[in-house]
Parts: sequence; structure tokens; C-alpha cells
Amino acid sequence: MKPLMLEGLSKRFGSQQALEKLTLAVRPGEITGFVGGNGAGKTTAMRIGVGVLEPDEGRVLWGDAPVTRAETERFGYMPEERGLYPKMTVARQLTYLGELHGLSRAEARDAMVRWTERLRITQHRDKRVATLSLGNQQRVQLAAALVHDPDVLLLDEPFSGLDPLAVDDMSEVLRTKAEQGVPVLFSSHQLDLVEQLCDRVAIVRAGRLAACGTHQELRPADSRGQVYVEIDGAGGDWPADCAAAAAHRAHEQGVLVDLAAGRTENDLLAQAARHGTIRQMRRHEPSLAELFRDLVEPADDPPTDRGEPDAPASDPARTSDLDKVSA
Amino acid sequence: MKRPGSRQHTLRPTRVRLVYTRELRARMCTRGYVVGLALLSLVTFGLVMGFSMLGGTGDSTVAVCGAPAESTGTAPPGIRVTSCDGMTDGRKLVENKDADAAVVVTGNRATLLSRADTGDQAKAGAEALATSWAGHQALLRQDVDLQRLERDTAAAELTTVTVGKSVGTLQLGAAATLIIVLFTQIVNQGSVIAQGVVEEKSTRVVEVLLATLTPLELLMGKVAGIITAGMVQVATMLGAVVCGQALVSDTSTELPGAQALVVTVLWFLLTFALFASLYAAAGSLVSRPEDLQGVLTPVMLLALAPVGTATAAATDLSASWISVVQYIPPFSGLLMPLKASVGTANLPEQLIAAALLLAATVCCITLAARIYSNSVLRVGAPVRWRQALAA
Repeated sequence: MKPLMLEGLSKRFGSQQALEKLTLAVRPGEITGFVGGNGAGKTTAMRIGVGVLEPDEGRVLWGDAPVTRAETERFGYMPEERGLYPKMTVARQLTYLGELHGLSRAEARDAMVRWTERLRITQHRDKRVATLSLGNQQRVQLAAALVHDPDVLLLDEPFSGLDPLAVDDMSEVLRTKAEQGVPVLFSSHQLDLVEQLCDRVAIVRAGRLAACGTHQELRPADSRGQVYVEIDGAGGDWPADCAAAAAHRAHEQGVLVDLAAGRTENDLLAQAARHGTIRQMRRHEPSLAELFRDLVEPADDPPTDRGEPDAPASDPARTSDLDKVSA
Repeated sequence: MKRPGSRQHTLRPTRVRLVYTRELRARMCTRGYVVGLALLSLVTFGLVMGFSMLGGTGDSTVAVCGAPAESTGTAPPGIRVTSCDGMTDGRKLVENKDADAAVVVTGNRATLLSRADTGDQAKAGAEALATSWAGHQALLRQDVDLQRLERDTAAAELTTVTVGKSVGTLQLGAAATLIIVLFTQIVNQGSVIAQGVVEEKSTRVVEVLLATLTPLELLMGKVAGIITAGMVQVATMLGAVVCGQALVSDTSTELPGAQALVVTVLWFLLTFALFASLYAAAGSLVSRPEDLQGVLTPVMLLALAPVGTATAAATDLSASWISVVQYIPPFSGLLMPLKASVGTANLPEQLIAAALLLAATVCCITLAARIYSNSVLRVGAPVRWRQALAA
């Protein structure tokens, strides 16, 4: 399997710049989460990736060569705005879409049977899509993206509106496809799900890639010495007189402490114990939601400064090297 | 740097065929379509039969009383002659409406009987019969050899020659009606195309389709499917007309011949392709069916203009303005088949007009594909034509 590369994509709609030189690699065998605020450019990037839109600048590569129309047949796409023919039956719809993706009638029919079984919608095959519940329509939509056994998967908000069981089914399918070597890119606002499911995360802001990498790579270097401490009866400023604490801030029910240079958790523990009963003390690993907020809505810097394309890229820990991917 | 344009402009026949088949099935394999088709053919057939019975009142009957029917000569067209005995019989027949009028011969005189509601045709027929009888009697009184008179008259060999390029009103009327009915389908089916595009846009399925199809493939398959479904309706209607006419009349029909019909259908398809692309482009500009009327109005007016022109041209095909307008698309799409169906358009004229219409159709399809691909994914407020072109 080959990686999918979005290379220097720019797209403008009237006065609005939807994408500006967005570069992103989706590696084979990996699930890449695509996150960003509303209007950040995720949908536009995915539409360009699958060939629904043409970029003003940039190109889409599959492996080393630009994607052709014939090759996009091998892509599976689930748009953010779900869409199927409401009066067509599930079976006929999936067979038709399979044929459009290059399968013969018999192959498309077999694939329809396989995927309706896999996604547990067998009993709905002969029903019109409009008569199904929203959750089952979502399952049909996923089957439509998978019916031709695609070599690349681009899914725009695939988890929105799904019940927990359907989320499990969808997650399982994505993991299986990734294990088969398929590059999977999906966008979502459910960051806990992205964190749990994705091998890599790409964060987009104002049409530009703000960060991309594994969860570990995305963590800022200064967060690696942070310790969360919760003490019964202590005020929020107790670390102020601790030599082991370089800085601190309130977090959840306790305090997040930056260890001073040369100090360890043991030093902090000893000093913290003087302020009361320690209920909790652990290394703090910022969640994806925190990283996302930090990158998309930084507390200190105005958004315009942080929005510069080179700013996040200047931190090597926050982005991966595209050359490594294509290699 | 742009991606190679092939991704958006490829045209693969297999994909077009799949879209075409789906569209055709979606349109035709519905109870509504089949029932509609059956009703359309029944209503058309019934109308032809009904009009024929109401409009074709048949021959008028004139009774000739007191003289042999042969003595009144050949009956004029549309007049059926019956015999009766005398004034009393004649009066009874006319009063009882068994005859429309009567010519009653008493001695050397002839009397014409009619009712107040007797039609002009019956009155004129009765007058002609009475005059013929009077002339016949006068010739006999002058000892003219009637058989020799008849032979000498036949020797003149009366023949009829049609001169000039004028076309029979009935023939032209039939051709114009057929063509106008056919081309009115452009407006009807055009609206169906626009509705189909809005339906795909409002149900968002278009984005799924465009992930594997180019806008041109989707547009062509869809338009071809809807045109086919529409043409089946037209053919059914024409079939019902022809069957109805064949049943009610033993005289030859005034409908254009098979060759003229084929030429007309070719012109129709070419013109339909032009307008179908514009209708599809108009449909892609809006996201809700209720917004459709606003964007369809200019296209509809453009489509109706040639129909109006053809109606005007049908009164006098030799008018000088037609010799110019017949080459201008889309007017040529109706004027040329109209002229061709009555044999007043030569081949070079048709070829030039067809080439110009073809060029205009290609331009419109290209333009429509651009508008379609630029606006079909934009939801919300209607997109303006200029915005869609500029995007």
C-alpha cells in the first residue's frame, strides 16, 4: 500500500481562504486523525483528497505520482454531509456504488452482502434508505465507503451521530482496514475517540497544518516535567514556597507543577507532604483535547501569531518529517 | 501548481452508462410512471377519437324528390343523396331531420326545402343539385346529345398542377403542431432534469457520487436517462395519435413521413442537449426545490422563445426573416425541422444550421459542466450564475 500525500494544498472560496499550503501525509497501515475547529479546512482538504474539489494550488499524490481519476476509484470516502438516494433500497444502492467504483455487478453484489453482514444491517437490505433510523443510515453510509474494498479511506466525521455500539463497530472496521495496510484519514471533533483510535493526529487551523504526529510527538517539550498533585486542605498556591516547583497552575481538583531543573518527583513529594495529606500525585500527560486547545486557541499569544504556517513547524517535536513518510 | 485536470474532466462511457441506467430505472420503474404512461396513451387516444367524432360531422344528406337521383348529376363532395316521392315525403324527411335539405321536383320546377338549422354545406349542396337538375333539363329540352357532351368534356383531360413553393395549410399545420408538441417537452423534461439535480444536491448524495464520477459523467448520464424517459412518453403519445387516426379515418394522414420524423427527432435531441445542460446547471445553483423557480425562469423563457418563433413561422414559411433566423441557435432547432418536414429546407441549409447548433450545444454543455461543478457542492442560499461561472 502507498501513502496518500496532500502537498501544499491551497483553496479559496470567494474572499475566504479555506486552505493555505496544507501539507499532510497519511501513512499506509496507520489511522490518522484529522482535527480542527469548525471551518478550519478539514472538509475542504478531504474533498480535494478524494477528487471532489480541485485545489487552486498544490497536488494530491498517491505514492510518488499525482492521483488520477481512475485511481480515486480505489478510494473510499464518507462525506461529512451524509448522502444516499433516499428512495433506493440499501442493497441496490450499495451494488450501484460498488459498480461505480469499478466492480462488476456480481462482485458488487457479493461485496454488498459481505458489508451488510459485517455492519449488521442485513435485515435492512431490501428497505429504502429513507425508512431507516439515522444510526442505520450511518452504517449504510460506511458500507458505501467500504463496498469496493478501498486502498485509501477518507472519512469526514464518521462517528458523529453514532450510538456506542456503532462507534465500536466503526472503530473495529477502521482498525482492520489499517491492519490491512490501508492509509486511513478521518476527521472528528470527538478528541477522546481520536486519541484512543489514531496512530497519528494532524491538527489543522485556519487552513494550515498546526501540528502533526503521534500523541507523544505532539506533546510540548516543557510538558514532560509536569506533575499533577492533589492535597487535602491545601490552597492553590502551596507550590509557591517549594524549591522543587519552578511554576504551577490550577488543574482539575489540584495543581499542575513544573519541576525545577535538577529536581525530581521525590523532592516535590517531600515538600508537598508538609502542606497536607496527598491524595494524588502522578506524571501529567496532556490529553489531545488539551493539546488541541493549546494549539488552536493559545492562551498567551494572539491567534494570528500562532497561525503562521512556520510557527508550529519550527518545533520538530510537533511535526513529522514528510520525507520519512514517503520513504 | 494544479493537479492534472483529467480528474475532473474525464468521460468514461461505462460510468455514464451506469448513471444512465440508474436514472432510467429510477424514472421508469415506478408505479407512477407506468400508470401515467397508460393514462397518457388512453387520454390521447380518447381525445383523437372524440375530436374525430365531434369535428368530423360526416356527409350532409339531401333528399331528391320527384326525379331520379341521376338527373341531379354527381353529388358535390360531402353530400349524400337519397330519393323520396314528393313534396310531402320531402317535407317529412327534412322536418324529422332524416335529411338536412330536400330538392323537390314538380313538373318543370324545383323547390328547395331546408330547416332554419340546416348547415351551409347542406344548403349549398342542395342548391348545386337543383342547379344541376335544371341545367340537365334545359339541355334535354334543347335536344343536346348528353352522352356526346359527356365524352367531349372528358376529352379535355382536366388535370391539376400545383405551382410555387407554398405549402398546404393542413400539411404545414400538422408538421408545426407535431414539432411544437415535441419541443414543448424540452420545457417539461428540462424542469424534471433541474428537479433531479436539486434532489441529488439536497439529499447530499452528489458528494458521494462525485468522489468516483466526474461532474460531466454524472451530468451526461442523468440528462440522457431523463431524456429517454421523456421520449418514451412522447413516442407513446404519438403512437396513440397514429393509432387513433388509423381507426377513425381511412384517408391518408397529414403527419410528416418517416424520414421527416427521423430528421425532426435528430434536431430535437440536439436542441434538447443544449437546453438540458442549461437546466441542469440552473438546478445545481439551488439547494432546495422551492428555490428552483427563480433560477429556472430565464432558461424556460429561452426555451420557449423558439417555440413561439416556430408558431409564428408556421403561418408563412416563406417569410424573409425566416431565411436568417433559421440558422441562429436555438431557433434553428425548431425552424429547420419544420421546413424539412414540408420539404422546403435543402441539405446544405440544414447542415450549416446543424453545425452552428452543434457548436452552440458544445459551448452550453461546457459552460454548464463548469457551473455545475462549481455550485453543486455549495449548500445554502442560491448561487448566482456569475458566481458559479467565476468560481
